[in-house]
Amino acid sequence: MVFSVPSPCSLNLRIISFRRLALGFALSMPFTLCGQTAVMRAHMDRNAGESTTSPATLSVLDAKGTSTLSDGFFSLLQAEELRPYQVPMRSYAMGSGTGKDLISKNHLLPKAQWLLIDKRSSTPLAQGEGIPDAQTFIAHLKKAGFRDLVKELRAYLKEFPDSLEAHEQLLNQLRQRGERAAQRYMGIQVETNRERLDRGDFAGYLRAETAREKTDLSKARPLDAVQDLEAWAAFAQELETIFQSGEWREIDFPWVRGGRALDTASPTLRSLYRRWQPAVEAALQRDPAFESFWDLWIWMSQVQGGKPLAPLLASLKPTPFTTEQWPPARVVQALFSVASTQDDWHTLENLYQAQWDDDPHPLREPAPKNATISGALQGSGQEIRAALLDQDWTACLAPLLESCIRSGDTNQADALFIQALDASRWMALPAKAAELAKRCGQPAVAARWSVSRPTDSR
Amino acid sequence: MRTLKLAFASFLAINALPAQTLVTAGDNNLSLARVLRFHPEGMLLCLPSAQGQSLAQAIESALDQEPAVALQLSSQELGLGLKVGAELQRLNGWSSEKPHWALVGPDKRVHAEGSEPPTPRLIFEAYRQSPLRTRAEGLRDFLKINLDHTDALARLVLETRSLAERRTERLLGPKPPTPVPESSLSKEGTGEPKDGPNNSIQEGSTANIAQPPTVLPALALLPEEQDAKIWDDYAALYGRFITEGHWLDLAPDGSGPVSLAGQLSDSAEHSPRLIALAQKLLPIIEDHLRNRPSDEARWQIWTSLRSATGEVRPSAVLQGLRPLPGAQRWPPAAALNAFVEEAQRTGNWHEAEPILQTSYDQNLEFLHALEAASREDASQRWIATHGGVSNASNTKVEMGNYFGFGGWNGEIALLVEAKLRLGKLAEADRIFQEVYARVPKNATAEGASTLARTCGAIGLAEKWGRLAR
Repeated sequence: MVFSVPSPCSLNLRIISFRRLALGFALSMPFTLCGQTAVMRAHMDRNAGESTTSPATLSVLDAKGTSTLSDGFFSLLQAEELRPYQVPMRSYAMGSGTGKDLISKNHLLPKAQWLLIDKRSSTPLAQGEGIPDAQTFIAHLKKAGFRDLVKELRAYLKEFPDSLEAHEQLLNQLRQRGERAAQRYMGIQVETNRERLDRGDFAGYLRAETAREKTDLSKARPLDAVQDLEAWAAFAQELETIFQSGEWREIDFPWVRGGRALDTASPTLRSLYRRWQPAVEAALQRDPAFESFWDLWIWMSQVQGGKPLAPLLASLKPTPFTTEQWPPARVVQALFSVASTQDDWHTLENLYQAQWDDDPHPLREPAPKNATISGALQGSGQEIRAALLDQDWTACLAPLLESCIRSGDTNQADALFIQALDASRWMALPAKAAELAKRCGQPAVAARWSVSRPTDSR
Repeated sequence: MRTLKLAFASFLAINALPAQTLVTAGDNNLSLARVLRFHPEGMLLCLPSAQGQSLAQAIESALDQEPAVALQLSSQELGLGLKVGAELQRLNGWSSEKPHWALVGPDKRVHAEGSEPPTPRLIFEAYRQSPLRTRAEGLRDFLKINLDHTDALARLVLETRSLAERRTERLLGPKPPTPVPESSLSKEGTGEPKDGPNNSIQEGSTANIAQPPTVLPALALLPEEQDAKIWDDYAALYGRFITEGHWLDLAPDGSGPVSLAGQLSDSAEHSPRLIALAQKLLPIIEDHLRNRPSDEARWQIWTSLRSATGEVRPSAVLQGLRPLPGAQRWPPAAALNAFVEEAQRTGNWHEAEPILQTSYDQNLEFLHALEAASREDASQRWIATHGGVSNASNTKVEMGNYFGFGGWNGEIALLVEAKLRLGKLAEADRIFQEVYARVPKNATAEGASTLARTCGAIGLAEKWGRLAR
């Protein structure tokens, strides 16, 4: 048996942002890549910042039906002495397929235990059955190559105070520490996308890559003032320094794309973002299509519970005589996560309506004469058409319908839905649209759409 | 000279270029409004006659000549049988007996038309009499009101650069191919067969290896008057783009108009004022590069300036710096192209070789990680579909070859070239054999053989060439 790896990256293509490339491939070949989570992880590791890649992974095998060992390690990793080392942990249940695989691969006895597995060689560097004490475990970590990078980066910055890269890496390290501490105080765990892949949740990974999700903090314990400072003061201080020096414009903040969205619970961070968001808006005036500024603005807005979209968009002047979409498609998509008022939704409705009107859309094109309307896929032509329709739905019609409904323009949503259904005769559309209407709190619209058929086939 | 990586980055950034022309051939759903939508500056459209006479080539040629070239307009021929062609024909009431052309605005308004090939002067005057504004004029108007607009300035820099490059090329002729292309795959051999046909390989000796041409052909420099006329505008805008810090809005993946505009024109070496400008700006770029030496886009910009001045080695830029804590390599991977270009420029591969070697080692490691990951995925799929423990760990993994992955690509060719140029023939052979074992294709052997011949390693050239059937 030979396994094929769809390889989105080549030795010559490292220049491409992995995030975009891998996502592009993942979206274009979802059926092939769904079973390729480890391959995706390998790509992610390669493209992660060098100093953010851990030399080893802690694999914890729990006895069937319990999580005692992984809970114990979770607490241990949060201990003060261990915080400098960012140890990635993966838990396995003994009876599960992945657990059995871990046992078989490492020739283990079937009992609760932990292993520190070298990332390069995939061989265990240390292992045991109970929870080790902090000092013993630190010794294992150091032997495996873990380092206190915050300490080293601070020393480096004394020697090279202008190093943007050192500031960037320090900020990322402090961010990771802040996230861990905040999770501990708040009693919750929020997964990064990398961790979703670790769990094999490819669908969750794709969802988070394509649409920014809000973290549900309703079950979290609130941070008190001391905990807030304890968790976030170092990160906030470094961020403040970077904003004050103006270096923030040249720095990449990967956490606004792949970090744990815990900042809403922190008064320190909320206040910092409130203070500095105008600087980001001023930068957007100069370069309104620059996605890095948008990423940061959206993150800051999300943390503050939304910010009116219309005034900012109205104040920005897109470059004339260009062929590119304004605002950039990815930005419009990301703005969904910060829309909070009816006005915001109306702004988004206008942006998506313009996309719907201006560009060609498979959902608006008349279906070919021989197109099946049963929804069943027949032959590769049908598969391609179904994929194109689905892509058009996800990229444009679904957000347009959602923004219509949320802005209170249900009649327009109805008209658009019928237009698309009549033109495309895509029989998957009623169910998809109905699900969307239901999610938007419109059960009556959902019921109506779910039984809709193209006008000429009624 | 650019390596494949840079070429690919430019390819990725192609949507950042100022104008875009829709491919109309065969698309019968395309409307005239959609074709024109991408050309707010207007464009020249033409229709062939029913007998197939076409003005397309004549128009393209006219647009490339003074004074029409200054307009930077696009032209497109529409098919008579297509909806969009019929729409244009109807709009003008044209018969099909003759071919036609028209200068059309974004609102479908026709500002000039004819059935004979237009002269460059005619196009220019027709455009000037119309209310249309060129892209450069539109951007300048916009920048008068929005002084600090980085995106608009970047696009104007690109517009003026493109015009100046076209004018330079018309004056000096097209740019000759660079003396040592990155993979050297298409070059004929230059060395004598001194290491003999017996495949004997001696480590460490460079005596029998032909060195690359170190004396580059003399470059034509523009006379002052022409230089000023062609490059003044671009030089002023580019200087402003750099000194005001607009170039620092570099996207993390190096895409977009800012990254492209940050690179000095490839034709700068012909312009004394651009060479002087590059010398003036280089220290600014180097300061920023030293603060962020892992930024490939900054290296690209630095390389573009360095190419014009011919001064400063990449190792000199990094002097006094230390790798960041946790960094796995130094010099950073981002500097690889700069070191390779330096080696190709000077013929000295000593500094580039270890960087290419590290890159190769890391790529190989990644290849193995992918193989392991692929096995893990296969194992998970097995568990999901069959239950129990999989036997995937012993299974052969086919890595695929979507982009020549792990095969004979630019970076590996460069490493082998470095080894050959430095006389490390046994190492070159080992690397080639590793790659060939993975991708045993004729093209791999042929490419490597040609490279070896170019470098004067005739024994290896013949040995590797024999593998090509």
